[in-house]
Amino acid sequence: MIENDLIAELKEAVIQGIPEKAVAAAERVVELQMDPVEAFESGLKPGISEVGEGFASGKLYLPDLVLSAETMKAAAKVLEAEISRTGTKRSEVGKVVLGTVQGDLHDIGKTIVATLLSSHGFDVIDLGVNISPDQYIEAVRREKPDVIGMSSLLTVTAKELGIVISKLKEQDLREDVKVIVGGGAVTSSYAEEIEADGYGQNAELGVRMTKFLLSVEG
Amino acid sequence: MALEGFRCKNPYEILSADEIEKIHVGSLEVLEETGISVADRRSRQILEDGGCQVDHETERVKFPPDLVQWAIDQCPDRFTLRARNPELSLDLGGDLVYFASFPGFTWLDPETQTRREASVDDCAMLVRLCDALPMVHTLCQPVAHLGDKPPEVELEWVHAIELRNTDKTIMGTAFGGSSKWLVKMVEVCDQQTLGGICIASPLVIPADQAQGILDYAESGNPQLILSGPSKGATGPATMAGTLVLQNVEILGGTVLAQLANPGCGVMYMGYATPMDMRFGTMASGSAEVGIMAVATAQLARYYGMPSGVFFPMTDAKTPDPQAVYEKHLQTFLCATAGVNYIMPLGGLDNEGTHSPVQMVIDNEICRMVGKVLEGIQVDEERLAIDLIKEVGPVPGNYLKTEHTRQHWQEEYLIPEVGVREEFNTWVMSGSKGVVERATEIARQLMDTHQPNPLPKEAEVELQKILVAAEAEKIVQ
Ligand code: B12
Repeated sequence: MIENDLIAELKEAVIQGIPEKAVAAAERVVELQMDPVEAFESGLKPGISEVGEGFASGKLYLPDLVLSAETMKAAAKVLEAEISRTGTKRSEVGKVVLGTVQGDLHDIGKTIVATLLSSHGFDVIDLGVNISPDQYIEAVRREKPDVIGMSSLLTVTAKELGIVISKLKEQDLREDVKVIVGGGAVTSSYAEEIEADGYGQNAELGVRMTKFLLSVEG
Repeated sequence: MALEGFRCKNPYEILSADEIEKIHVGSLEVLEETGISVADRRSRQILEDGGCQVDHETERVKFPPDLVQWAIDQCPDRFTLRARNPELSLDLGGDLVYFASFPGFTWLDPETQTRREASVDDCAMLVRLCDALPMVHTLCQPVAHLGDKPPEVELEWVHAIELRNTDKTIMGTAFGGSSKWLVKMVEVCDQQTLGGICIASPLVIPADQAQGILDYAESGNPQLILSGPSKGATGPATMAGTLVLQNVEILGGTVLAQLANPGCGVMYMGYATPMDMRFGTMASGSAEVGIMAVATAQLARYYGMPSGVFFPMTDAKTPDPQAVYEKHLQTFLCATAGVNYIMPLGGLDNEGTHSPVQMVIDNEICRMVGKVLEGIQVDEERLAIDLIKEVGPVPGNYLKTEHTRQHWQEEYLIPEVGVREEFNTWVMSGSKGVVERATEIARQLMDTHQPNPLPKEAEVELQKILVAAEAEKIVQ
């Protein structure tokens, strides 16, 4: 009984976007030695997808989406520690490393893409802005993501996308990750030219493309 | 001698003196306790030598209140932006109001209404239109991107194209090290530029922008320091909080400029927009933008600095009713608030496109708003007491009096694009709406207008600078 209550509470905390509440519930889950994977799948995930749907249909707004994603992240940290401690596994949609390229400080578009991806169940590592090719490479080595996403809003920084892709090839990492690019300075033909795997004109198309690349349903 | 702008004699205000004081005090607190991240090493050194607390590791610079006040006191409340033709110089500050063109990433082809990447020739044509339109008192580059030049030097090219195709003053940039080259270019053209510095909200002065502050200050060119937090995204969701952040960022940049060259001209420029929380886009055509512009003008006056805003703007994609009502509201608010430097002309789609057709329509909006600023002249001749007595009741009328012939033109604006004729006449002349009329005017001016040419010697030197910039910036 208490287990169901806790899972409902996790979901509710994500929907309301209250990290403290979600973290407290997640800690209780660990304390009571409940299945952390179950808490993740039946608590956090349905919560964030409800918020995602609310945003897509215009009932919820960006701040709701962002706070819910933050809440999810905070609670997931607690549960994931438990998952890896107990050696169990949760089914993952995929892991995405995201950042805005070197020389470019435009943050907002990339952040929205990150948020929407996490609301669709992706595990998202947001590297931030002004990310050098070496930082991307390092992140690919460290995080072993399925996808790396790069944003560029300036024509002068668009070439950075190609540089990162060449670096990935040099380091024999290109086959390990899919590369998706977006932002105002990027066109689909440019994405093709630099041999990216995908391009997203906006956050929603970006999510769809990511799902397509990883053959994720929905 | 300077270009005659408009004058705003009784500026509209939105904040009380007490509220301004609160924004000021709060800003000093943020500057002192949180500070700003300054990405350029030499700039941090200058700030440290000037008395700031600097952590070179984290790039964070904290500003003591006394130093901020010192920098504010150094700023001239008025300065000249010198054109090579002195009649086109700007006298920035006081109650003067000037209008400028607005840049786009692409431009909107007038006849097809499709977005196009600008070539060098397109850019020159767009500059010539700015040169031709009387309400463009000064230029911000019509396009920020050229499709047929390497991206590393596109801004240097854009500025050279401006200098070749207009003798009006131009706004500079600092992006990608462009300030270094522009400063040289305007020198050989015997004029100044209004350097454009863009702080990255929240609280970052990027390396190239810091370098730009130094380049413009040290070369004796005035500069604008622009901050544009996006309400709810890169700034607090409240207008008051966003104004504090904007103020902090502008004042931080100003300290660097004044330490580099005490007394140099700095314009206080606002660019705050709310975010549309449904789409994550900037609501650049919103009323809030205009409201914050009024407050920006008040804050600039409080500090004794000339004011500017990096709008009016619209989110409309074509020159349509939305473009016109959004831009008109903002232009009106900015002008009646006494913003010294306003940028209404040509912008569409939140900086996405520059439109020649919209330019012509905006030229008309500016004339109308300028007319509002001119107000009503009241003297014996214009009160026309004797005339009213003389004409008396119907059948008397004023059409046949000499007084009408003498005064009607100075008091009435004849629209260039607006439809005024009655219905049948309008039908007989082709039932053309405003967009069609503006398209014809834009096309005609772009095809025929001849700007005053750049002197030969200047052209030779300008070309040398472009070649040098390419050699230095394009790594083979
Ligand atoms: C806000 C803004 C800023 C802010 C950024 C604040 C911040 N912390 O992010 C500030 C004021 C700091 C700024 C600075 C500059 N900016 Co600016 N900026 C803008 C502006 C107005 C909006 C950008 C934005 O956030 N849009 C909203 C978001 C949601 O849209 P978005 O970023 O496009 O993202 C969406 C999609 O593109 C896509 N997407 C984005 N990334 C990714 C990644 C992936 C993987 C995928 C799948 C999808 C995807 O999904 C997103 C959501 O739908 C644009 C104009 C415009 N209308 O786009 C100019 C613009 C991008 N800036 C421009 C310029 C020139 C500059 C400056 C150089 C200005 C200057 N002269 O100093 C500096 C550069 C600073 C730097 N080094 O980066 C130009 C670029 C032109 C060019 N030739 O490259 C633009 C186009 C304006 C213009 N017309 O001139 N800017």
